[in-house]
Amino acid sequence: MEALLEVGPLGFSTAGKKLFEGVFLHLYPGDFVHLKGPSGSGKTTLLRQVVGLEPSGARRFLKGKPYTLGEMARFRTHCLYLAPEAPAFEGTVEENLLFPFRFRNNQGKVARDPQGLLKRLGLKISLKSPAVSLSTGERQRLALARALLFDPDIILADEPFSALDEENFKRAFELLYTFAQRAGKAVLCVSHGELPRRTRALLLARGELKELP
Amino acid sequence: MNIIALGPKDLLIASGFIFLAGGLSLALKLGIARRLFIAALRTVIQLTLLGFLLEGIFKLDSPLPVLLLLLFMTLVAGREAAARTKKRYAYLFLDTTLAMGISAFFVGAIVTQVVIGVKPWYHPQYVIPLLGMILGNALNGVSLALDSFLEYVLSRREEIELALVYGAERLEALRRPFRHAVRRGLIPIINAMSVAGIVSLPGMMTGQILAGTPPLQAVAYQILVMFMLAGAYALGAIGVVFLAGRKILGKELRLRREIFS
Repeated sequence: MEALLEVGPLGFSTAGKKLFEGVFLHLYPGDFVHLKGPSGSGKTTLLRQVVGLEPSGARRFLKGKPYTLGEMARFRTHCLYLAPEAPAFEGTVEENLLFPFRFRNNQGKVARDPQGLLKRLGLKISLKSPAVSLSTGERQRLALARALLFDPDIILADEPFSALDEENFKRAFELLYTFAQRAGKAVLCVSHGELPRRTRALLLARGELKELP
Repeated sequence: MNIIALGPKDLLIASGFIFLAGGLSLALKLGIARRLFIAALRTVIQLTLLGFLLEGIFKLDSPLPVLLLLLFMTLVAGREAAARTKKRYAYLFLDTTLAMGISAFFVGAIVTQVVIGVKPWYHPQYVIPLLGMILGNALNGVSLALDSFLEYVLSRREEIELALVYGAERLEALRRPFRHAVRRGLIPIINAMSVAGIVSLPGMMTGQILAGTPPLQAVAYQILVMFMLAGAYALGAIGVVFLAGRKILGKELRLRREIFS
């Protein structure tokens, strides 16, 4: 099967110490990959490098098509990085959900039923309410809703459930897992805790990325 | 025109103000006397040198020395604007100098060549003081805008990266910091225009009136100068954040924190 995403080689060293080196990441359609690794092993850096927020000498392919450094904006519209801080900016919940659709690279994309998606995530907030007043857990679900609404090919989710209680975790996880099962989609999820389901698991430790059984 | 000429004796008396301020500082232990004297001394030396330089250039009456002086002024202003920001990145002064140069050249060319229409085109008596005023003010706009731009971008990294990960191009990702910075950069000139003639008598107009120009003519020049300075502020502020944005995000559109020192 042709890989949806191929990136590598990725390597990172800080203060003269190698964090990881020569790492290649492959994602296939239908993947829901659990990325594990001890704290400080470089999981966040690895994902940031994939989408080009951190420098690397990596080459990137989406469905076999290469993307150069000058094409990073278009690459990111297909391969989305969901940051652990779940940032929101001043403005309404609606503005925070829909701002990506205004970008030139996303013309033609349509946001389908933002209110319904918020409800399925257990968020009982109005689209017109200010986003800065949300709690950490609410902001995390807002960030997930934004990613799902954006509907990219790949979501690289960095600790997307860390601030959610049991019930909200289940809802959010199911939505993300369902996304990965749609045709031509894949998810890679960093999580310290165990996940109820996954198709594959990877471990980043001692500078290497390994497939877990 | 009846100009009352100033001689060395008059300035010596005026320097009494500096000694008065310095004496007060010493008596009240304010600890500012030394810096005050050094600044006063610099004023005397720098302005005297400038006076001789201008006299020389006025006499030469040729374009090359005028252009050289303008180039030198632009470089100094660019360096000064770079030195005033709290956060710095590598080769920052190239961007500030370029922004200043573009702003001063464009506004200066229109004012001297189209509005005033000086003949010959390099007439030093007009070109040098006007360009000096434009540069001095563009310097303010540039450094204020740049400072708030860098502050915004570095303190709200997540907000910028949030736009970037959703496929924003450079101007889309930097829309908020651009707006914030240019507004901040234009505040001084907007304030100055709002209170001109009510709270403050603008310095240039005061100088012209002291030198014997009829008030209405001095006012006409002052209005021209205000508008010209507003243009210089705006072009300088917009230019510098645009250039800084290119540097900070680079071709691959990521926040290049490593270029900051």
